[in-house]
Amino acid sequence: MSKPGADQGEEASPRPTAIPDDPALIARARGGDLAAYDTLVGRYQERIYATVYHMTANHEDANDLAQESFIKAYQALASFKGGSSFYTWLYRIAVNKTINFLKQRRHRGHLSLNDLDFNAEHDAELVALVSDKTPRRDAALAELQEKLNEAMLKLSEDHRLVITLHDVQGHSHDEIAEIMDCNIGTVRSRLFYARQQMQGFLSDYLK
Amino acid sequence: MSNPSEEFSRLRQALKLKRHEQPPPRYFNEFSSQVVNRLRETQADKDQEIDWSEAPWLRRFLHYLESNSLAAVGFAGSICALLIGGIVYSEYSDSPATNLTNNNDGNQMVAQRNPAPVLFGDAPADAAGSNALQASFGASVGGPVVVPVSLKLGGQ
Repeated sequence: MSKPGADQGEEASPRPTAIPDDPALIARARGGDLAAYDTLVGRYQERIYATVYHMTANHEDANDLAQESFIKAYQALASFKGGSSFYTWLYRIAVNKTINFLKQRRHRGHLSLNDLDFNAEHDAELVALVSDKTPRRDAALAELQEKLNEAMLKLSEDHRLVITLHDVQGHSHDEIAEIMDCNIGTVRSRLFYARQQMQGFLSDYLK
Repeated sequence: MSNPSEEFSRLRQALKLKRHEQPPPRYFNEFSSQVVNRLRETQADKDQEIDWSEAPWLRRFLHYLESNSLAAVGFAGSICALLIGGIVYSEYSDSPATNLTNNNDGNQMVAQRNPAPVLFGDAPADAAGSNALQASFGASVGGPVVVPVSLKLGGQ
């Protein structure tokens, strides 16, 4: 992902020859270099935000939680031993923060869904899914989006997380097991039950 | 009617829709700078924080009260209790109604019973008895004598 604002000042300073990797940036950030940490945030912000957003179905909550996750990660950089990748470690922080937030929230939060991008209406599979229900493709997709998010909010946090990481974000079972700190069998089992529940919640749309 | 495998396939397709949910345009342009700004603010707050372990005991105590609401309530309650206790005590200590008055001799002070009301149903102390008592104390101590309030005057 290109860093926002990277074009600014390009003429004044020479372009760096190589993009620093995570360990180098982490070492600099540990020494208090916030510019290095800014690069790390830019590298993972979209994936972390997306995970939190799919868990909460609320843009404002996702924004707060994603920012707090990066802040907590920076403050805990000294404890990062490098046993796993920085990406997995960061994911774990964000996921734990989000699950704690969802457990503390007494009632189900209201939906604050992001808009669908332009490509959604041109995705053949999605079009096939909704085209026979209504001639208005955008309205049908928006309705499906709402039903889908409502159904996901009915799942337990663990089941929602495994659906998000696997079926939405495309992580492997191994990666999910590492992020959720459980074995692969547990991941498979949770995925199976989560999908079964989702099929039940969305039965009207899937027939 | 579709079979379970078709439903599952449709579910996978439906979940793909979530990949198309995007935050507001240019949202990520500001994200990392917001995180870094918050980190700077947090760092600045930490720098401004007073190290209470090196502060005088009173500041540490006040800081403790600030951070512990239960202790603050207890402290406020004890202050109120002390205040009320002081008021009540002063009221009771005034009730025997004893006055320090000047003796006929001038600079010597003696405790004198207030003539009214008569608390014990006995006659007020006569001046002679009072003076005799004062004289005996005065002779032994050689200075002004203050008779304890609880002492019953008049030799009774």
